[in-house]
Amino acid sequence: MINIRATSAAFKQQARHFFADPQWVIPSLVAPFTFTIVVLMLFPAVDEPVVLYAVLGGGILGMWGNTLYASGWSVSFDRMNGTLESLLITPTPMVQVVAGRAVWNTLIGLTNAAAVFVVAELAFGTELRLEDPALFFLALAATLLSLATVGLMLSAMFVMTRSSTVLMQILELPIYFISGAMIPVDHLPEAIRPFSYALAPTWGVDAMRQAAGIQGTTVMGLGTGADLLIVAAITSVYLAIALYLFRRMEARARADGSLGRW
Amino acid sequence: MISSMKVAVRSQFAAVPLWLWLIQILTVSVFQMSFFVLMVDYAGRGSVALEYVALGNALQSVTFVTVYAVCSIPGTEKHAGTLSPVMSTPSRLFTVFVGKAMFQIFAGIITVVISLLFANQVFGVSFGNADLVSVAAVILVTTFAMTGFGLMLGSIGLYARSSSVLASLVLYLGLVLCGVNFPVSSLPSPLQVVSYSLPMTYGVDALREAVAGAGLLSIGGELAIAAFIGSVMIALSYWMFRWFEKLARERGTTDMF
Amino acid sequence: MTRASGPAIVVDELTKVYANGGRKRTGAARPAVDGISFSVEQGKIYGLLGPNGAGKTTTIKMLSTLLLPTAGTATVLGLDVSSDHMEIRKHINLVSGGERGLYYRITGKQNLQFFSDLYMVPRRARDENVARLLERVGLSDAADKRVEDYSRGMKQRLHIARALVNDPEVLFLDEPTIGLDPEIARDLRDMIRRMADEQKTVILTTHYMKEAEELCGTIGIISKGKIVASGPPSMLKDLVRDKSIIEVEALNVDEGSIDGLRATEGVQEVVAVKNGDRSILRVQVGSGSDMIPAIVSRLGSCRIVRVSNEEPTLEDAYLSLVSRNDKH
Repeated sequence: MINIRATSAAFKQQARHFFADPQWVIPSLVAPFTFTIVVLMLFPAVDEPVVLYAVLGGGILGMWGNTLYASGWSVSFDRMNGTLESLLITPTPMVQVVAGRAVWNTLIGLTNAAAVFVVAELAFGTELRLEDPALFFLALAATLLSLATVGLMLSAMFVMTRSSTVLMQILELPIYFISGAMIPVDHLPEAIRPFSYALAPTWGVDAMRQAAGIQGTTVMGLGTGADLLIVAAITSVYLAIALYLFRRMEARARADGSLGRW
Repeated sequence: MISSMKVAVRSQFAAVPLWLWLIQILTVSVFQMSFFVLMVDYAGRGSVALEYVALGNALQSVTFVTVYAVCSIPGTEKHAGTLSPVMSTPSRLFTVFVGKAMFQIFAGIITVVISLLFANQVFGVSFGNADLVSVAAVILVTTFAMTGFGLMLGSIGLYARSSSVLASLVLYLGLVLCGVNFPVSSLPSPLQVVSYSLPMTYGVDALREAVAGAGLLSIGGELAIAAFIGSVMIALSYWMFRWFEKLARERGTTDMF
Repeated sequence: MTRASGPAIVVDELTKVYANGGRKRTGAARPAVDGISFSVEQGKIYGLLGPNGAGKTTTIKMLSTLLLPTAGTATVLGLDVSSDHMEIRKHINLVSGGERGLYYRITGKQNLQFFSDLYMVPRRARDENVARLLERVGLSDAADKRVEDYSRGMKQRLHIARALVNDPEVLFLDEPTIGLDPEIARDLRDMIRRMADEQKTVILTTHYMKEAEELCGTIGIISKGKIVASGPPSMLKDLVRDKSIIEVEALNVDEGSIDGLRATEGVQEVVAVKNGDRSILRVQVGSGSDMIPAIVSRLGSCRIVRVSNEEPTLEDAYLSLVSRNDKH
């Protein structure tokens, strides 16, 4: 049963929770923000393409940071809060509820992009002009959705283990490194590249860069159309995994009642 | 204090297995270093800059353990509900936390050593000319000073809703302010004032000199400043623990999270 | 709905054994629920009465589709709890005791709206419904306040409102009045009674005797996973009707005296409650027998404060049945 209302209700609810305690987004955004500022300081001159690359990449990493922490915690939060049972007993599959939250969590990560753009413009005098705004925002939306789906996968995985905080911290930085969001993929060690190609954000960011008109190498030399198709394909795989994980999680909860306790 | 350290070790590894904890510490340090080294490489700034960045990040990795972990202790205690019981024991709250922090000092030293090894093995940072005594002194003093910093920030966690927001800010802002990836002189003057009040700034500078061969006497000044700042922070944290303990009891916020 | 008349709930040899992985208990896993059977007619209130760990919560969880049975079957509104759980969930709801189960950082109204959406309550009716529910549980004034600012009683009332959001035909209540002030508990019981008046079927678990007696048309006494007796409160009391209770309040009663008392001819059961150095012993004897002298002499070494003859209550029946089961 697909209940779009549940997903949008969860999106709204997550937004309300966010505005009740907005400071909690800071830990997710500090790393992407500082990394971007450092990168901006590392470049000898305000060399336009590279700087814009960094600014855009920083924004994407902000989305990743908040997806990881906020979505990763999503189901565990319900477990701790005692609301997991109230959710499980409804006829709406849990995954549809968490999906709504995941979209908000990823979206709010864009505040990092906003912060970085502001600093870049004020402190470094950079200007990000969009050559093709429509395409840019399409690519942004695609990247956002793919990241939200990753968040969905993580929320199911993390509720099944006690070491989730540690795992989250382990996952945060490697993705900065691997995603090609800030360091071009062909500049990464060869052994790492296959992992980069497997990540949807790598292609999403590439499409955004091309849409923004930033000069530089593209991933595998592909254009935005191909990039977006790849994003869609990889996102579908993530979604399938997420659906599977949620089904397993609910089945396990029903079999041994193990999700009722913290 | 020793028993707090033992409790810290045991509880640390009860919730998270040792191997996972090690991986966590190392992943964060190593990936962070790799990120900036590769970035510098991409920016085409050459091997001098590479060494600069690698060493800076190697030492800065201690922040994760000494500041972030120590700072989070009050928050974690509150969350686990053990803060009130701890506060009702005769041993001063401060000594209990220092005991826990001591374990993090050991962990911090290990983290830096491994990061330096990584820098050497993977990025080819050479220790051929290094004065190892100086290097060791830098690691010890910086770890000590940063632990003091963590204790001071952690005392805020007694009173505030949570100290981990502050801890994560500190963890990463050090990257911008302490000369870890680029010289402090590149920053606007007002920010430089902040930089020079942080022990890491002196530590990172001293480390580079030590690796280049400077002896203890050469770097002694910087180490002394770092140690002094660290001591002031520890003294401040003791006072802050007492003050916040009193406030928390007055306002009933020990269980606020 | 795929059922006409017939019982709302039918339970047949329902069993639940938790695998060790869930509980990490050593030794042989005792079934949490061991082959229980009962049925509940529509519009009735059925109570599951038993001590902690008896299997009440596990039973409720299986019937509310949160837990899979290990063996046996159960149907709710004609649908199987194992295979038709998604369909069942549209027509049932659950209230667990305690404060958890709500989102504290949003308002009462927002909580109810959220759950309404999860139950696909028609959009147009949703807000009206929510307002009506809040009125019903006496929270209209607090509708726009954050739940974290609610008192315990208010939170419990909001729980009830949440559980009514989908107008369920069957409502499961797991120790709903636990930890509540008597006044609030009483209000809650009134609400529960009204639900039965609306032809809702209610399954209630509790370990409060009075509550079970007051509310439930039928009570199942559950102990160690088994239903040891089942029937209307009057029938259960009949189980001890031929008995008398002699209540003795004494000081410095030791285990030896109690065992001795139990071994005394004519004594059927002794239930002791200790409070400091004062103990209250409820001694079950055959009715009409004058056992007081024998009891007093058996308790010679203890200082007896008071002796009285009592009519057996549901509590005595319950204690008798439960302790009898404990001996097996």
